[in-house]
Amino acid sequence: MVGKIRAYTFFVLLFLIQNNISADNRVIATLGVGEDPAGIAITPDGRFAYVANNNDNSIPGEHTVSVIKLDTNTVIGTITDASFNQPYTITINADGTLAYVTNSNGTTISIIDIATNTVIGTITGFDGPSGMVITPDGTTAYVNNYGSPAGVGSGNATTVRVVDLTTNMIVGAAITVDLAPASLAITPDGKFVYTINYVDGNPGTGTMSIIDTSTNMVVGTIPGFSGPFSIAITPNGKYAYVTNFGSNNFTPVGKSVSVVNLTTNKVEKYIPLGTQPSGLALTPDGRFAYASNYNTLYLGPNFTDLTPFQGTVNIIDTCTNEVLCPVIIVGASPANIAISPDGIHAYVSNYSANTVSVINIVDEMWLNICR
Amino acid sequence: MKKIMFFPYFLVLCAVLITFSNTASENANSCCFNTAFTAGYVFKHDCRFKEVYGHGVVNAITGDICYYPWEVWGVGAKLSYWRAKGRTNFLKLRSIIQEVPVTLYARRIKDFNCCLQLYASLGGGFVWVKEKSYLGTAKAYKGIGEVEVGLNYPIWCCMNLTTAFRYLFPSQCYSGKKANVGGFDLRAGIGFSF
Repeated sequence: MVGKIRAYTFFVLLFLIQNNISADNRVIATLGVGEDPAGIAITPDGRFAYVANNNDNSIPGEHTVSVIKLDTNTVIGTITDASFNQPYTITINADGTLAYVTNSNGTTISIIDIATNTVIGTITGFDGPSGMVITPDGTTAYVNNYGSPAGVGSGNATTVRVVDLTTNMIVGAAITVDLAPASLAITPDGKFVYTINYVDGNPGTGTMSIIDTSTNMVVGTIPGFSGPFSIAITPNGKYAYVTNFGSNNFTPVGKSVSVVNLTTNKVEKYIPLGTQPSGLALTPDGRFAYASNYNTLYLGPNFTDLTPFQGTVNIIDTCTNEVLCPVIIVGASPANIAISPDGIHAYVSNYSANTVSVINIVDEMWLNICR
Repeated sequence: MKKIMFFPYFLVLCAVLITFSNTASENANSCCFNTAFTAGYVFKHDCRFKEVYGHGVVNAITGDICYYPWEVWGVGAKLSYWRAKGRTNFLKLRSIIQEVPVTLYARRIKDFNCCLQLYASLGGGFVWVKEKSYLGTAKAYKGIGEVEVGLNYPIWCCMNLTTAFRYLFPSQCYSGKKANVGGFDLRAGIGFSF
């Protein structure tokens, strides 16, 4: 045990020295959730967070969704349902009444009634769905089919499906994108959906597909990503930030975030980050991006002995696209990040640690707090 | 650039005061003026201030004029400008604070045989505070009090060296958090008696 602690301490120090950065531990709470927490979403009123517990090893009874009450930072419930099959992401509608859970090892999306925290229905017809976005008018959703298994791994699907949320039915033909669409985001005006396609995870092979929501056609493809994992679009709709996680064999690892200019549809900058940038979230004002570093590597031969080293969160100034000094130490294998609507807290799902780290992200000058 | 811009105003002010001092000394034997222009540091002891601006030391300049109608007793006014650069407490982004304390005071002086002049003063006024960072701009006006002791040492004609130690003692609240806008002010400079 002591040896393990020493080893972890060594790797943390090594990471910090290598990156010439200082650590700032702003984690104010660490909450135990279910098995392999992945996606995390916060209700628009900022009262609750829902965590999809991916249960990568399909342990019976562990396909769950955890509910966190945010004013007390306590887990107030765990939702179980027969429809859950490796829940991967959660999307909450604009009025905060429904949460949609992608079942990444199956073909469905489960619908949770937030008032009762029970599953009230499913949407069928997918193939390893791994992400979902809802249009600003709340009537339509776009769901990417990664192919099973979802997340980092060998996705084998190439489509995005359109869902009519008034009927909870897939509508129209499948939109074909590149291999293994891992995640997607919609512009604030709802005109375009951007999917990031993992392909084989090797350097430079990943792509981004641009879908025009008025025609549901792919109108462009942006190359140059390396195992893209997460995408977030700034509130002004001008830029997208994409984490380059790296290869599905965890080598070569990705170590950057791509900044995509959505006016020119070109990658404008690669921002060096930690090891295996995974989740990414923007503050409500779009001023900062918080990106987690998964930092989980195979130590043995032939992809054995998968070992999570210290998970961290980097902060990017979106005005300068530079990484700021504080590095936040979180749990093992941080997968995704969500930021509260008031911009005061960030919530990080730690995949290997089965926890959620709560980070205080308030920044202050002397006289008052302005955010 | 701003520092360069300040000097012409400073020289004009000096010239006006020196002219005024000649007139005053010719016309009034029983009255006496003392002016001082000093620079130094303010040592803040507010913990939250130190989080943003380091050790709480800010650049400070002060202009001071005192009128002595009753020999050893005088009244005066003082204007200071404090400025510090810091970094916000989490993301470490640039933040700048400017404070302008303006005070009126009563002063008692004591002359020593070696020409050294010691004084102590007590006064009050207000401080204007402006803080700016990426988070926005905060402004405030708050009342303050001050106590000060200082030394004047004549060096040439009506000119003297002056040193002063002042404590400003406001403690105010902003946005629910206490922020002490005062501090210890240690400074030195040149004075003119006339």
